[in-house]
Amino acid sequence: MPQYVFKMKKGELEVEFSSDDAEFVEQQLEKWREEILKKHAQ
Amino acid sequence: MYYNIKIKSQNSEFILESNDKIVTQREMDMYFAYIFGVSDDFISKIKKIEIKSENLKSIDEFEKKAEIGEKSSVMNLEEVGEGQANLSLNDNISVFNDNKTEVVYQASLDELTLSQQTENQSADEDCSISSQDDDIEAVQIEESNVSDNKSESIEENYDNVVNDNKTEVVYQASLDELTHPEQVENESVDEAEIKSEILDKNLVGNIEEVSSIKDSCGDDILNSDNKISNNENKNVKEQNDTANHLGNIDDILKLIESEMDSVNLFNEDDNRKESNKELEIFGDDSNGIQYETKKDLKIEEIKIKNSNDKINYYQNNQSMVDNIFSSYENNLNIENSKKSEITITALNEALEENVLTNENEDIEVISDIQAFDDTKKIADDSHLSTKSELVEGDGFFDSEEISLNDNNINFSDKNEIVSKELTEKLEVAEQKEDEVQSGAKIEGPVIDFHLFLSGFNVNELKDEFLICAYYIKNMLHEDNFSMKFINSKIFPATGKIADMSIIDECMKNGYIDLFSGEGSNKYSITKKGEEYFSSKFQNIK
Repeated sequence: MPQYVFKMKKGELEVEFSSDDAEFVEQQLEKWREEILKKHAQ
Repeated sequence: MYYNIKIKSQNSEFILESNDKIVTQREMDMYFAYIFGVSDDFISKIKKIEIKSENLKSIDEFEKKAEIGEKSSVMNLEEVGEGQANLSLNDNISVFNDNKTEVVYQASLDELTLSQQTENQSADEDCSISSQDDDIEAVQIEESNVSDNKSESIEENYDNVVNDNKTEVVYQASLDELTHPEQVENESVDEAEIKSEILDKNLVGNIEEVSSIKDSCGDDILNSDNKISNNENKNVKEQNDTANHLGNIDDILKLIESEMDSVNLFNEDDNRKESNKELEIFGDDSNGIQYETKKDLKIEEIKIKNSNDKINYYQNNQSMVDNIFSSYENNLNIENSKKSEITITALNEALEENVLTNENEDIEVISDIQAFDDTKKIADDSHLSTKSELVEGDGFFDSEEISLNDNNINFSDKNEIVSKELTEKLEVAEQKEDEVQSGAKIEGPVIDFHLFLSGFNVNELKDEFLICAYYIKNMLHEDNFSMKFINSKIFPATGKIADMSIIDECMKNGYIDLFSGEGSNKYSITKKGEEYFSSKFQNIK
């Protein structure tokens, strides 16, 4: 079963997200993308 | 299915291990919003919220009764940005309580002097940490095999979180997260990279194909899915799913890339011994993308343990609380919930020392609420009205810990009771502060070091260290202290950590000395140090 690990680092803050739920990971990333787009649109 | 979140900072670590999608989604949304600086309401004011209930519906009721301000949802970042948590003191006390629910609400004493601290730190070199926090340095996506012991029983009912067999969240952040809005607004992302590591050998080729297609066909990554779906291999379905997701991920990464200065996407085998493919895409540094971030986050620790009969949730982030309850309200089948316990607390040694407990009373613990008033007064006196109003408007309150157990509590009466106690405690605190300034010994519960320190106009760590050493001996009545102990006082109050250089300097000046009764790792303030403290600091304020 695959594991997805998503890591972000911002300054001293490091975020790592891992899951075997590919669909969920995809949904999260897609949602974040949309949020970034919203942010851009503002 | 499992969902893990790990967040590390310089002095803390956040780990979420869950099989619950809702919990994970909520946490990730919040931290995404936090990291990307699109949320304005990640201002931590609550030090402890503890809810114990046998019925999650009670928690839902708590939300309504507590009126934790305007709800915001990280699902919609615009709402997050506009959302304000307008907790007032009365709101705090008006927490829901019935025969099945116990609520403990604790504010962050460390936040009390936030306004003043902001002023002090504005001229402090340590403020550079704030800007550093806003630099997105790396985003990494990995894919690897999961050990076989992972459960595949997966059709979970995410509508009922308390039926999960296991959910565990550990959260630790710290004062190093502390930033101030006026210092971090409009900061650009200086450096960022996105990495994708595919550690599953079976998927490497697949991913490479996706990457190759990406190279040759640009953005049309999804085309790779069709190719893969035609494969009759036994593993095709999984690979196809992965490719599909990775295709989307790649697409998403490209978008995220546009938000950052650089993106690094690469694949590795499962041993991570060599990089199979590396694709680097560098964004336009001239984009000058700016973020408005208001972060006053001071999360000490969050823990969630979720079993059939227990959920523990530790945190001190007010917006998180909003979202937790929103999540419960919107996503959970509350009626099916049988037993639950939610505990939201921040583990802070200094604060816990100030907790007073009387199990025989309805109100178990109330302390230091007056400190907020003190701080507000200090802030007002310092002409920090803007920040002070902001903090207050965001629901800043200063209940050290309030616990309501009585099954028949009349909340309006409770408010009056608490208000009276607050008034009394405020008077006591003022008296104590006067005594502190005069060097008098104080009996009974001591004031928090943060509050104690606020009485002195000092910015240098060595001075704060000496004041803390004095505080430990004369307020806490401890003959000696370890570096760990004194830093547990200094750090929450100042965001700084004393190291051996401070010890050496103070010892060189004769202000502190090795404590003779203990090992070499214990120190105590000397008489000379106390005299220095008295002569230099006592008359400053």
